[in-house]
Amino acid sequence: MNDRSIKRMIWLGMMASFGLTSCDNQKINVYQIPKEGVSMQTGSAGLVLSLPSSPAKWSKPAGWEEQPLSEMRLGSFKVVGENGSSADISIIAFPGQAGGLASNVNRWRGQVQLPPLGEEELKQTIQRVEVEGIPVSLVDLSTPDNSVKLSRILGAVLETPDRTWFVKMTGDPGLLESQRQVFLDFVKSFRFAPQLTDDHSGTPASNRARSTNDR
Amino acid sequence: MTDKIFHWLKPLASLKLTIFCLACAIVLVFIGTVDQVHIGIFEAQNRYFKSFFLYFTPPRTTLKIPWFPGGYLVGGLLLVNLIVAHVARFRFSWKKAGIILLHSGLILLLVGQLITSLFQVESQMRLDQGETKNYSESFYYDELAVIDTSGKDSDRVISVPASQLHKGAKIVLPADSLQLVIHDYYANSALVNVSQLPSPNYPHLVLGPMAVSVPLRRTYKQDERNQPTAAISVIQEGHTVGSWNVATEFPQSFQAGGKDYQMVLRPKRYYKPFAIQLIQFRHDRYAGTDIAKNFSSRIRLMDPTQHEDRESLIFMNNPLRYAGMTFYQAGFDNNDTTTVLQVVKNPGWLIPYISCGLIVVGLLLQFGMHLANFVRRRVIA
Repeated sequence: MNDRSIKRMIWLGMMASFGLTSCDNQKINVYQIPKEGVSMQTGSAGLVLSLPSSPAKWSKPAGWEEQPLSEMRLGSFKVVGENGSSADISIIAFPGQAGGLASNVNRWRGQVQLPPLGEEELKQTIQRVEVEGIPVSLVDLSTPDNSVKLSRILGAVLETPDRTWFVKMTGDPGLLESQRQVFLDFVKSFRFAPQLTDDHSGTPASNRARSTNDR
Repeated sequence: MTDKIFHWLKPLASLKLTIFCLACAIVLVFIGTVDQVHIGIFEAQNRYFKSFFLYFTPPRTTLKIPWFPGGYLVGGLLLVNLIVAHVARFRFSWKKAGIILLHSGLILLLVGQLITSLFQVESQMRLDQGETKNYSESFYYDELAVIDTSGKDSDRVISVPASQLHKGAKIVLPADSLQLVIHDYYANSALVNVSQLPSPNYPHLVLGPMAVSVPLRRTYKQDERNQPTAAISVIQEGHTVGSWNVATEFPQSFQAGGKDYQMVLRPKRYYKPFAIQLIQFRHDRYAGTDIAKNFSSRIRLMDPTQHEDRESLIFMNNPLRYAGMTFYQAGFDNNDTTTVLQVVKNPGWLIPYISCGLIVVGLLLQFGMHLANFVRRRVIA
């Protein structure tokens, strides 16, 4: 063994001993845990949210194509008309009132270039029905006739005790006219799982925990 | 052969190296302490002490130029220096027993620190009165948890460390042929209302009809936490299952291959084979004042595997030690109804006690022998 190899051996040994790191924080881990209501409360502060994977069921109408889920979508569909026009259908849900009916309908109005309305005026544009005892607000919004690109929204807001569901169909006005009844039947096909007993509807974040070292 | 090794080891045994390492350690402690004001204790520890080198990055480059030895290198060299000096120079004699013991204590202290820095895991357990938990959460690290919830009695968690999440990353999960593509990642972000965006083109990730996440600079403050947001596509066997934006308070649910999943970005969790329930948190004050007298948490420890079900009182300087972990009283919240326990798992926790004992015995022996000799000489005179 020559000098160089001894030297290399010593240094390699040293580097290896220092290079030992637990690295537990860098690896992907897989483990099993007992089932729990997935409480998302963080160590620092935050909302408590719990959305079971499918608390509602619905029946997909014939002719609607299932789409990959995106953003907050719990359901996503596409329907194509005879003339190649298409419409997009989305289902999303939020804990609690999700900002209120008026602000959400006005948000949809904004998407079809309609000005926002006050609550009283909005009430006259909203049709109210019930599905399985759940109040449902229906809206039908179209872009003004002078718009460059015509669009239309058929929307339904379903208010279950613990969350608000938004079912929205957007697309070509002509196609939506022919799909209107299909959309209504789709909304009526919603069936909800029993309400969770735990109150997980977004409670406001508490202040940061204080340290026992604080004065 | 042995001579050759000693020949090469000789420079490592030099006293000059000891002085150089001690000088470097002084400089490191000084700069680290000063910089801690700006980058917080955790980052300062990582940058200055848990590293081989301090790096300098010239402006507008990503180069990392080492310019000063870091804590691991200085401590490591000091350790090697001490060991080699003993092997190469010292010969055992009863006269030197004190010094040898003293230095063994020092070596053990350095080794103990290395073990602590490599294997210690610190986390926090936050419990509301009456709440039971079987996990603690990291204060510094985040994870992307993909949870298979289709099991009857248990959930399977795939935990991806946030350090692997960056724009363009492709992560193959070790289960169900799932693959994640990270389209965008903010290491720290704030949730704002859509209308609060400075302009529609301002970088943001949509979390819902009202909420969007905007990128923020990483925080190093000790009392703040980074809140990550990621834009993720889930792919199974070449087919895109869907694309979602996830943030700490915004979990996502999806189905793939007939299984239900949840995906959430959250503080890294450390699950334990036992559970702890908070029975009562107490914040005692001196009578007639608001000055804290005592903080204590009465907890119930439940470990069916060890047939353990007992109460314990955790208070200042009286932590609960169980299953290699120590639970300290660290904080409180929610009008004194929530306790925050610091959970420390340190396999080397006993080493500093043993090494300090060795140093004390070594010092007593060394100075005791000097004293004995001195007294003996005076008696003879």
